[in-house]
Amino acid sequence: MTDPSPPDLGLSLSEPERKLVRTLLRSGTPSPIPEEVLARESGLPSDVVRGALERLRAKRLAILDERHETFHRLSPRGREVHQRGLPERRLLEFLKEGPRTLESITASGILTPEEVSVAVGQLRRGGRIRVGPLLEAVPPVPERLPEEEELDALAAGRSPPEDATLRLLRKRGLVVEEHRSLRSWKLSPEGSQVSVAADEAPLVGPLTAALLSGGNWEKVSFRPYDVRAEVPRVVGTRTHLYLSWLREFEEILLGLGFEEYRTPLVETEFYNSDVLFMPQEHPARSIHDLLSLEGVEGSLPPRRLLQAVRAVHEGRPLPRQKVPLSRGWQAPYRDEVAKRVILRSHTTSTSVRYLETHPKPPFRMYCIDTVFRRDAVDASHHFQFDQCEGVFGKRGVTLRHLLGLLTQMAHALGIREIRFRPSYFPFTEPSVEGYVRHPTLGWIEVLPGGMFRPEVLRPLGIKVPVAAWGIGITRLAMISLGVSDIRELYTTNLDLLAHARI
Amino acid sequence: MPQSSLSADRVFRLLGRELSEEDLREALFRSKVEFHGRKDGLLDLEVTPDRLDLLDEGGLAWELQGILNLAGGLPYAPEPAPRPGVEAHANPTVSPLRPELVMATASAPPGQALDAGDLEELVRFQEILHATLGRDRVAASLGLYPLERIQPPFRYVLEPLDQIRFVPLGGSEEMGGREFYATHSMAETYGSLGRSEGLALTLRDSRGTILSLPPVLNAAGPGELRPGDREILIEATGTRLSRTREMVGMMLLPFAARGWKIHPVPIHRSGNADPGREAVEPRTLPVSSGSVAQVLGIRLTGPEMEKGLLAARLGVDREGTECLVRVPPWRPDILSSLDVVEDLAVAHGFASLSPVLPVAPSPGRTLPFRRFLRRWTQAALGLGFQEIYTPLLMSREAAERFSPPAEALRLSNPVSREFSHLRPVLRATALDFLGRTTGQGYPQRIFEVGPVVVRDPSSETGTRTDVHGVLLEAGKETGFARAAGILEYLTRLVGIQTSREPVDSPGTIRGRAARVRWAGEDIAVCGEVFPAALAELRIPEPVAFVEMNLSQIWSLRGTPRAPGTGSPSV
Repeated sequence: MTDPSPPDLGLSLSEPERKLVRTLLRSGTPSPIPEEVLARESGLPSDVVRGALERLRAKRLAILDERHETFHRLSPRGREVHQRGLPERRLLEFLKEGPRTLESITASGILTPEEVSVAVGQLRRGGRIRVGPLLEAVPPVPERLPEEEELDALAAGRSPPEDATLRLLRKRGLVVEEHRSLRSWKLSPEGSQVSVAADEAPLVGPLTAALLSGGNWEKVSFRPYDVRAEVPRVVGTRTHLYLSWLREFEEILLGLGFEEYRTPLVETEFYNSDVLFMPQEHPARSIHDLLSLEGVEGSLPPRRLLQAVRAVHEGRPLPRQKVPLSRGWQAPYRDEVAKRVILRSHTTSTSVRYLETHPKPPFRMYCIDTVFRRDAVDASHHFQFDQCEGVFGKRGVTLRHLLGLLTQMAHALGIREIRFRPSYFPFTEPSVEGYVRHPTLGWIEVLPGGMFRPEVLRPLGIKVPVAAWGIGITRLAMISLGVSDIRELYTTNLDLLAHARI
Repeated sequence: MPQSSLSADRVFRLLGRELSEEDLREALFRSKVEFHGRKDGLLDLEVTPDRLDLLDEGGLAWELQGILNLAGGLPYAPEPAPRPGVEAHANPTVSPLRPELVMATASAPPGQALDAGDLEELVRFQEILHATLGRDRVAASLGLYPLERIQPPFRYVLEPLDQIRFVPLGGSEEMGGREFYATHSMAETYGSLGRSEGLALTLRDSRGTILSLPPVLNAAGPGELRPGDREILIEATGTRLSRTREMVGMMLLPFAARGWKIHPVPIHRSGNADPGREAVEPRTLPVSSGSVAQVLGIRLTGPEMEKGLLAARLGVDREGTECLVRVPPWRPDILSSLDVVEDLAVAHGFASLSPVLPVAPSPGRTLPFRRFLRRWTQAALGLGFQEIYTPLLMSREAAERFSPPAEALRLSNPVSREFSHLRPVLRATALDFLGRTTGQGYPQRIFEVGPVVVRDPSSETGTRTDVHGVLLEAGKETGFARAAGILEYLTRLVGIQTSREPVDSPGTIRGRAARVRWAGEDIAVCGEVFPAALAELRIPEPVAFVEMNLSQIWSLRGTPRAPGTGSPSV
């Protein structure tokens, strides 16, 4: 492909553009020609001329010479006064017939009282009448007053020079001052070279329905466009960048054979904590950490489950068992704590509800959903964020399977270096924390998990081992998206949202 | 997570060698300790909440010895019998306020005594325990006294304030009980735990000397520890016996790690005597190689198990592949044999547990409801609307823009006024969003699919979480007809054939809101936002919206809600 040669430029011009180039060439003068003259000579409407000239300028074919000037014109009242005659002219004509009293002038109806007042004032100031009991014209009565001459000039489209009379007319509201730019055009050297012969067949711009119907398009030539010209900015709509990231992450879990499950954002403390074997006086359960709801009453879970959970908390055997699973928390279990209603603090409550309602193994469940903590909002904290939760359980599942799943997730994210260390969660034993190597942040902890404790599983009637994890997916998303301030996930910058990278 | 700074010199002295920062970091990566660095001779450490023992110099040194193979096992054997005459009486009067009392004694081995550094270390560890295990002294609190200068048996009693006279620790003037509780800063912080009307808890020795006012403050004078002390009484009071024992058990560690001899202290209460052995003696738990294999997925031989357990600083009696493990009193985190298995995994090293990838029997699956939400999202994008993301919580003002007062659920402990209410409709936070985009040109078209929370007395939380979809358009050309047109299109897409009907919807211009009902339920609403809300948010253009209850629509399309959860079950 090659660039079009300069003469071809003429082909890319619209018909009005070509016409104006011809008009400018015809003028034969190097001096700029006023826009209105070009309009007149080209026979094109002024708005078409303006648009076409601007496009020629954008294509560097025409040069604009713009000057600003001040001019005067008659105001609507000025036009009316000019037609009817100035009040002072009408008074002078009346007085030509002889001196009159003020009352008789007013009574004659040739002037309104306001006009009488203006006319008397103006004529007396100019020494053209004498004012006494009678008003009398001072001869000779002039043929035209200076004010009248200026009004005549303005009515004829001329702008008289600034002088005392013009200032007076302006003060009386008969004349207004205006500013305008004088736009004149000439061809640039490139424009002078453009081939726009008049006998060339007109080129067609947009392809219209009329051209398409009946094969009319076969009879015309299409004007090539300047494909480098600026075009209107187009902005589309996109899915939210953070939510899109979460949806893509979900595909990793689907690839690993996990099925989705979801539960409500509001939970009782029973499902958020008790059934997870978190002691009722655990510091993470205080009002400083959980967001509690006001004015709603929670209810207790099914009796059998409640009894079993109470037994493991208190270190007593489960119903119909002789030996306790562990020594528990050695503290009395309180129903009123279990009933408290909160915004869930982790999606592990979803895992628990899944196991409660799907007690038959194997288990392969995931959920990516929102959790809440009582944190003030700053760059690294927010009361709302998302977790990716999952359980994997069947006979023979061990900690090594959990390490395998977490490793696989890291690999799917493109992370090759991962290592594990011991961690702690009240509901898992053993508990692990997976660290991954980030190119700039170094080793970061992103993959926590563990094997659910029997104190969690047995009350739910689960007898097989269950591996579980709960990833702080928001943090992982922020690292992946290069977002350093969590508040940016809630950005209100529409342009940014619309330009989320594909 | 609990954190503290420990003297590097003292830890390395107990460890028996120096470690570079890098070696220390690597070694501790294998444990539940996070090492943040060494500064001014102090090791900056953080531990998981279950391993407070690792914030003691001795506990940390023992852990490192196990990891580095320098030493192993549990060099701890408390004496079975108390020291003659050392016992205490808990008067029944203490029961309503702080019923539990647990004690033990520690005696220095020949040639050892407390030095100033030891005293500092004991106070540091004691304060960590107060803040964590003791729940800021509410659940339990500790006291340490020189047994050589006080006279057993001890008496723990609730007595009239007027009978109390003592010199508070750190002071020099004797004070009456009333004056102490009225003026002392420690009484201001903890007074309510140790006082009930005109009475207060005291711990006295047999001469009547006040040793402390549990759990507020110790007394100065004979009961005050000094460098050179060799016989120590460890005491804890609390609201629950198990936690009070754990406090004493934990406090034994600094002494046990230095080879001090531990004795139980019997506690007499209403004619019964607790010999006090449970607080000081190791518990035993069985662990077999079979149970290890079940949890960790590795089969260890008997000697391998024994080696691992010794490295975990536990006591072991092994017979073949069966081990009886002795768990010291400073390990209350070990609740059952399973917890011992975790210790074994830690000692074995997580790095040596090779990951196994479970084979997926079938491809995974998203919920059909979520697939429905995605299709709705695509429809909104197709209409030229930009997806946004707003939080569930908002201010009362935002909540009441589209809902009658008190309809939106409120938090009882919000962090700020700005985020105190749960949105009952999605347009509330979406309009807030438009209030923040006023300088960005018009028209603006946004949409969101997200949760709302409404009251539902039939649910076990008294609430229901629904997913709504909302579209908002701001601009000169928008209005009711435009919103209603979009709503009609979307209702056609979700397969509903029903007509709009007028509705009085808060926050809309009267006569310019409509709802769509299906099977007797409101499933969607559209309307033009009332100018007051726009003026308040300084939105310069009219705004119209469409909001659909997508959970409700999905349910009515034939998918029942999961019982009790308020959410579609599949």
